[in-house]
This record gives sequence, C-alpha cells and structure tokens, in this order.
Amino acid sequence: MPTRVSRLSGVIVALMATLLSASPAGAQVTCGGLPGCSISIAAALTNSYVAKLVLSSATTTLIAPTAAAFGSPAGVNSPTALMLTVKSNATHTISVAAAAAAFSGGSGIKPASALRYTTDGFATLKGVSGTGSALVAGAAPTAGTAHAIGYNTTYAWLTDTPGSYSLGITYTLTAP
Amino acid sequence: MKFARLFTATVALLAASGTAQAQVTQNCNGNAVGLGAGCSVTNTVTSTVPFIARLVLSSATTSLTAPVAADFGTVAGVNTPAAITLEVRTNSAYSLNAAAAAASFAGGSGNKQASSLTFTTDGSTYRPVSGTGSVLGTGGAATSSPLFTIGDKTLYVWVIDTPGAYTLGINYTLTAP
Repeated sequence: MPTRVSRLSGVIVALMATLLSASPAGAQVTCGGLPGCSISIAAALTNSYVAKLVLSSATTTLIAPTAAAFGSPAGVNSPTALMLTVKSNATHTISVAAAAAAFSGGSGIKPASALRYTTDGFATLKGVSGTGSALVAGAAPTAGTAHAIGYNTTYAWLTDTPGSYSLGITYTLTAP
Repeated sequence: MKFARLFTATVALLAASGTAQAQVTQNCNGNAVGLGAGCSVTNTVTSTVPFIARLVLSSATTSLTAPVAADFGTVAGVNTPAAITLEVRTNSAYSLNAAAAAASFAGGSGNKQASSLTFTTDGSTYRPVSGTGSVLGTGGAATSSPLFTIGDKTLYVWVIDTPGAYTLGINYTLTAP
C-alpha cells in the first residue's frame, strides 16, 4: 500500500519524464562521465507596440472674449495648464484634430478652424480643422514626455453670437 | 491617534480620486506590427461668448453750421448734413438710441433747449434727441458693417440764441434684447 508521499513522488517523476520527452530533439544532450555538461536554450519574446496617453483634464474652458478680440486674426490665447503625457515603446506620431467641422452650440456655424493649439507658448499655432496637424512626428520612444498645450481662438461678429460653444479635440498616437 | 491617521488617509484618498477623475488615461496595446487604429484621448474645449458690440464714432465733436439772420424764427432750421458717421458691430440683434445728455445746451444764453436739435440718418427725416431721445437704428441679427451717416438740424430763436458758444452732448447707446 503506497503512502501519500510515495504516490506524489511518482507523479513528479512522471511529469518530468513527460516534459523531457516533449523537448525538441535539438535541445537534448547526453552527458556521460564528463566533468561538465551544458545545454543552451534560445528564449524568444515578441514585444508588441504599446503606448499610454494621459490628458490632465477632459475639458478646457477658453477665456471669454472681449470686443477687441472680434475680427482680430491674432485671436485670444487661453494658456491653460492642459498637459498631455505620452509613454510609448516605439517611434510615434501624435496628431491633433477636431472631432467635428464646427463647434456645437451657440450659432452652430463657428468653424473648427477658429481654434488653434500651441505647444511652445503660442510662438507657433497649429490648426485642428480637417485632418488636423502633428503635435510631434517621428518622436523617439519615451518613458514619459509631457506636452503643455494652450489654445488660441479667433472670434467673428457673424459667427460668434452669444452662447456656449464646445468642440472635441482628439489627440491620437500612432506607431510606427 | 488612530482616528487622526484614518482621517488623513481618507483625505488623501479623496484627493487622489479627484485627480483621477479629472484626468483622461488611455492604455493602448498593439501587436508586433503597430498600434493599429491608434491611441486617442479627447479634450472638449468650451467657450462662452457674451454679448459683444463695438461703436466707432468718426469724431468726438461736431461743429454745427453757423446761423444767419434768415434762419432765426424759421421752422426749417439750419442743416449740418453728414456731420459724422457711426459704425456698429455686434454679435447679436441690437437697438441704437440717440439722446441728449442734458435738457439744454451749456453755454451761451444758458437756456437753449435740447429740443431745438434734431438728427437724421437719411437726410430727410429728422428725429429729436431731447428727453429719452429716438431710435437711430435696429438690427435683427449680428452685423459687422452697418454705418450710419448722421446729420443735424438746429432751430434758432431770437431771444434764446444770444451770441455765444453752445454745446450739448449726444449719447448714442446700443442695447441688446
């Protein structure tokens, strides 16, 4: 009558035998009376493209315009503290585009082209209308790059009637 | 002591959860080829536009045509055509009113009435500026270009318009419904 320990030993031995027999023939080695015996196994790992985007806020409230802003091509700067932090294990591009051709609400005809964004403190303004523009292109893999984003908006007498306007801005990372 | 620690931990947890709610985090997993459709987050931009208007008056002062003897006592008065222009820009419907800033002119005899001055925007219809004044123009929608050319007409009376310089402020006021 085998004891519980002896039954367990039997199971382990059987398992080891199964594992060894499942190994490919090329990885087998027989050592007999040698001082050393070694075997090399090539470990294969496939890394996928992974990325992480963190936007500091889901919404941004623009600075309310004054009369002087209407008709001015310079627009109104809203230097918000919006921050986009990117982590990516590959070279990547981030595009910025409006989710619609026009703002919703208000007059209903305020075009998305009235909104621009900056990542360099308003020295350069980029558009979001149509296919948008690249925030970064061909950027190197990063463990955490933060992009400070500000918005600039132009106002026109005929399209910016009193009311509340909103527009979704989508930040999309693509790789490669 | 235990309560204090518990309270502190609770506050820290609340603060952390508040930050997490404000943020938008997106983890994206692709394959060996790429990220496929990409990895996106959305920021909704909101702008609240108030009622906005701009008035541009071509001149802060207007010198009326000096009267001659034939003008005194006539109801036709003396015209000063196209004295100034008033440009209106607004992002909404509007009403524009012209009214005298006082019941009478300052200077001169001291009793020349504001009602002796009327204005026109079409060269033919004259409206008073005395009292609450008159509507100069209205607009049913936003506009960026209406330009009003304003002329004046003044009546002269022998016993009121004694020699001297007379001045009267005319306020042009835009209101939105």
